[in-house]
Amino acid sequence: MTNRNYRNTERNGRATAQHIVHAARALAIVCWLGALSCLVITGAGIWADRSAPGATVVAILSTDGLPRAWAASIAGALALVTCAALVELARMLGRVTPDALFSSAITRHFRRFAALLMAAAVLRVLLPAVATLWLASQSGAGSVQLTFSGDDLLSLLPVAVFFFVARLFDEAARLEDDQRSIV
Amino acid sequence: MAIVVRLDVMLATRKVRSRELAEFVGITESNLSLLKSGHVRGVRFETLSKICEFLACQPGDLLAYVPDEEE
Repeated sequence: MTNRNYRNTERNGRATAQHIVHAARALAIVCWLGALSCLVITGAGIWADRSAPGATVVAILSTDGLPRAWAASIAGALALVTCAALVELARMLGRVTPDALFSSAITRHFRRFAALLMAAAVLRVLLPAVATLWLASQSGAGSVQLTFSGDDLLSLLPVAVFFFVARLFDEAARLEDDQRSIV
Repeated sequence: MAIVVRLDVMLATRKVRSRELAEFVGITESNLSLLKSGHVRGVRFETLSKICEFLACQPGDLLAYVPDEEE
């Protein structure tokens, strides 16, 4: 590689880094909006008056046979955890800079995002089942029918991939540090 | 560190300023300073080649292997 090519490669690398940072900023804004929407829509489903006249768009809380208060509590908890996951993702994207595309802080936020997403996926499966069992035990019912959706269990798969991506981030951070230490 | 950078010695011998060399090589003065002090993990062949060209020397004049002392 000639010296001019080498300089061009460096210049292109910096331009690419700038593009990545701009994209990360845009995605961070989308994540913040997503987190806010998650809370607003869940809140609307819990508290909105469906019988309000003139309402064209309504959020409906699906209770799946549970009392409305229980379903609302579960939906609220899931919304909070999902919102926290999106906030972590937004914070991670906000930390991307041209000089440090991969840093330990970015990886830390991404790990938290993956952990919170896993927590949300697990809670989505467990909380309705636990609530159903609790209510059955309180009412003295002899048998309980629990329903698990395969989609909920499949949602754990991307989380496992996210944890793998976090490991890749660690390796990328090490390589970036090496690259910076070579003059 | 077993590899010792003797760039400062060559700069003094050739009576060249760090800033001039950094400009010719195309690296920042701070990076050149890190290289002089040996606080880098590696040197690109491109960088080494430009330094040798500017100082009219061989890579062996800039780098030396010094075995670590046994404790």
